[in-house]
Amino acid sequence: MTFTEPLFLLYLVLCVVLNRLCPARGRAAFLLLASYAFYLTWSPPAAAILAILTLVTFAAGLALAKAQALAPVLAILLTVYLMAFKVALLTPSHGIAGLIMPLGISYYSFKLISYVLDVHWGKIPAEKSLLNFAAYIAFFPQIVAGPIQRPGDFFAQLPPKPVHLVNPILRIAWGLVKKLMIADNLAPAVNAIYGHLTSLHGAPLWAAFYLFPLQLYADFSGLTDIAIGSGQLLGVTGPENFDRPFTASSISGFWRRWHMSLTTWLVDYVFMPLRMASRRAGAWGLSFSIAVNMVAIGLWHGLTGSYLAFGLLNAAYLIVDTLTNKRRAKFFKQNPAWDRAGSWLGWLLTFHLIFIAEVFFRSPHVSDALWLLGHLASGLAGSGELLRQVVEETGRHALAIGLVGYLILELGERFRPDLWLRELYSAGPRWLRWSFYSSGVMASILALALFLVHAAGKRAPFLYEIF
Amino acid sequence: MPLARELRSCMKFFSDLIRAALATCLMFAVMEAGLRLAGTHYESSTYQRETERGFGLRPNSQGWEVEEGDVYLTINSDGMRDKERPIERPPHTLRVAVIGSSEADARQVGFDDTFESVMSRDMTRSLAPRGWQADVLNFGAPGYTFSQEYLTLRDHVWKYQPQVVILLFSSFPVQKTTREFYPGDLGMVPVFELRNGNLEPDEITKQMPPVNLKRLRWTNRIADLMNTSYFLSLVNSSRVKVSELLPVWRARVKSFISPTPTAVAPSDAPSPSTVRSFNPYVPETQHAWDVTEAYFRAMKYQCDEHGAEFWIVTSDLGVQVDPDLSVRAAFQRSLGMNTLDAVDERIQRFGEAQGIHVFALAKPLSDYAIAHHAYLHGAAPDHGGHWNAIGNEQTGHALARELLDQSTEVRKALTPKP
Repeated sequence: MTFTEPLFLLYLVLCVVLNRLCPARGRAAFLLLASYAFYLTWSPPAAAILAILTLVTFAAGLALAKAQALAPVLAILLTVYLMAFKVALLTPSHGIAGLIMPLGISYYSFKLISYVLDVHWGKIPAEKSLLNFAAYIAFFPQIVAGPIQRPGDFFAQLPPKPVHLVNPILRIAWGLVKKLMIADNLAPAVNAIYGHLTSLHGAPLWAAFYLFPLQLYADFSGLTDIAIGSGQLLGVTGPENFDRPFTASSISGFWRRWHMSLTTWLVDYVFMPLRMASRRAGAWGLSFSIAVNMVAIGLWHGLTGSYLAFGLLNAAYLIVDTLTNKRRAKFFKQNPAWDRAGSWLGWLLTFHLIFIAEVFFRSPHVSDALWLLGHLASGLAGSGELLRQVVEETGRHALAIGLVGYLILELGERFRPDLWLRELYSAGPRWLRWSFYSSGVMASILALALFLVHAAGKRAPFLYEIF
Repeated sequence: MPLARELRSCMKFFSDLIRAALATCLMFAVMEAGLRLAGTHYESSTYQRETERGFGLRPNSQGWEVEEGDVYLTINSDGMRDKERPIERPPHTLRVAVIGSSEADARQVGFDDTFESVMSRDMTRSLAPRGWQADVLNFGAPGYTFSQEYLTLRDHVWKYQPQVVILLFSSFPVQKTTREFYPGDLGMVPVFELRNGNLEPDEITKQMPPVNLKRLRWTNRIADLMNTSYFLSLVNSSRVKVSELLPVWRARVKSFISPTPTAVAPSDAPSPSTVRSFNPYVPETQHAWDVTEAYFRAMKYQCDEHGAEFWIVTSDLGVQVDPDLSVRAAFQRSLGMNTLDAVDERIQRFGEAQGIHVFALAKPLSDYAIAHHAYLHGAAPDHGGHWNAIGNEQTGHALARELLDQSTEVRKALTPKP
């Protein structure tokens, strides 16, 4: 069951209704049941592995009070478990991962590790309720692709309290729009170009260069919106993952806005311990900590050369950004006339540097990424026809919808029309409120119809589902 | 003044209601405009309920066909996927009536690209030097079975006085001539039984209530309105989609709740329905074939009565005209047959025995497909479905050639009268 399937939405509705009918005391148990039922549709053996890991980690959490040394061992074992599957995926037959690839392994492994380390560092007490703990690990809105919620934040929301339904539903609808209207319409052109990289040059490569990050953002942030909205419907609010990342005017700013639940996780559990250990090494220690952290971000996606290159490239960006930060701030303080131009240039530079890194993220091999970057300028003059052919074959119409949709996404996130509409609604006269109701009903019918006609029955996986 | 206050409050209520209604209309207009700007089309309904045929094309309806193409359809005032035709046959005109189901309707391509239009142009070009022209009338309707095609011929065709009637035969509807392969699932389709060699409506067909004309007018108006609005067409399409998906979801939920091991058929094994469409000698379909042949005889009789020439043209079965011979061979192997032309051959023999001209399209279309490595059905990547523009074009050319060469009515028309 994927989040864009009508069956998932029906399942979610059923869960929301039953969760509300359930007495508060039984809601955690209900969430656990619903989560495992969802997980079982993916793979019963994978569900069994998840249950075993949950039991072991829960027991270890309780034992940590007496055996502190257990924490690092368990954290390492969980990391090894995650890496084993990632390594297995590199083999031709995919080894054990070919037999049982646990859904959301990268996400729940990080949840388990953060629980062990948080208990070990005394940030949270060991959870006494197995039900609560198992519900946290298996919570189905988050298991597919995050966001990676911290244990303390999750447990504080138990037992889940009923929430107002409108905002979560709008959030899910917005996520579906991002995925189905934007990402899925940009995908054919991106896939076609990345699928034939070495036979293309010039204009089509520029198109892929600019389109893929937009597709990725729409796809992943759409997935996150559905996950957060679904969690809220069940009474658990997850952390945010994005904050208009492509408006960042520095690389560090970008990483504070992109896949925030993963980056903050790695900052807390990788970067900070390393930084503390290497603080005496000054700038070298800082650079080393950043490099390890960014490489970890890259390799979390998979143990491939292109993800490693993605991590290293971002590490290089971030080291330069961090080490020159003070000097840049000083320059702009002394030359305020340059400040405005600087932020524009910073945005333009950040935008392109990130897009260069995303080429490595999308390419199956480093050589493909290098081909794309190396042939952007070659034969540019005559490559318009090639681009026209690609666009014709993959659907000019779809691409236009995807691009217009992306423009709406950026403008919507910049100007937040939902906020002023809400203000208008609460302050407006009665007829306006009625108009809101009727328009809301019509918009819902339109959204549902579009969803059923264009998406139902199709299985276009989210890009981040595979991690 | 409580009354005045009441009145004011009432006025305010209605004024708010009107404003809200106007705002709702505005919202509807915005959505409609958005959908039109997005340029996506949604399937329209061009059908209506009928008493005799069960259903037919709705006169003067218009809308989009998007399932296998993106074509704006217009149905003429007599319920044909055709342009307006004078009832009276114009002088020096050879009229050919084509009856059949979706292949004849050819809504996958624009009107000028249908094989009927191609035929019309080709034949007119050849007849013009003698001062004649050809008029090929499209009586096809998607989903039609032989019973409906027979009723079309009997009740709708003759007023146009065609000299030639072509039944575009497709083997799939053979299974719909009896209820045994579709128990309870033939809906409004009339079914005839073979009694003492004659075709008579079965009990279910006899008991079908006649269409309520007043209600039909309303449902047609609503259907026309839905075709006019993109928003309403979309909502209607989603309703259809749900009805298609419901059994799939039900099966998935059922298999999750009680997984039962089922025998897994090889993925390339043809379905029983496909086997029945390619092999006319499957024992369980012999009765259906007997009924089918009775329809042919009844149509021939009708044509003889009206002095028209009756042709059966067998449509190809997709794979018969695949440009890749290895695909054909693999499919033939999966069927366990030594030919893919068994249906054509059976009908050819029947035609010879009954004095009916039979023309199999598979041969000329196959020759063209191989020579040009062209796919005549559907679109890439699977090339399934009905004839595409090339398929229609080649069908039109082949039929025009065959008619000009073989039709006695054409010969008669071209023979100078003393």
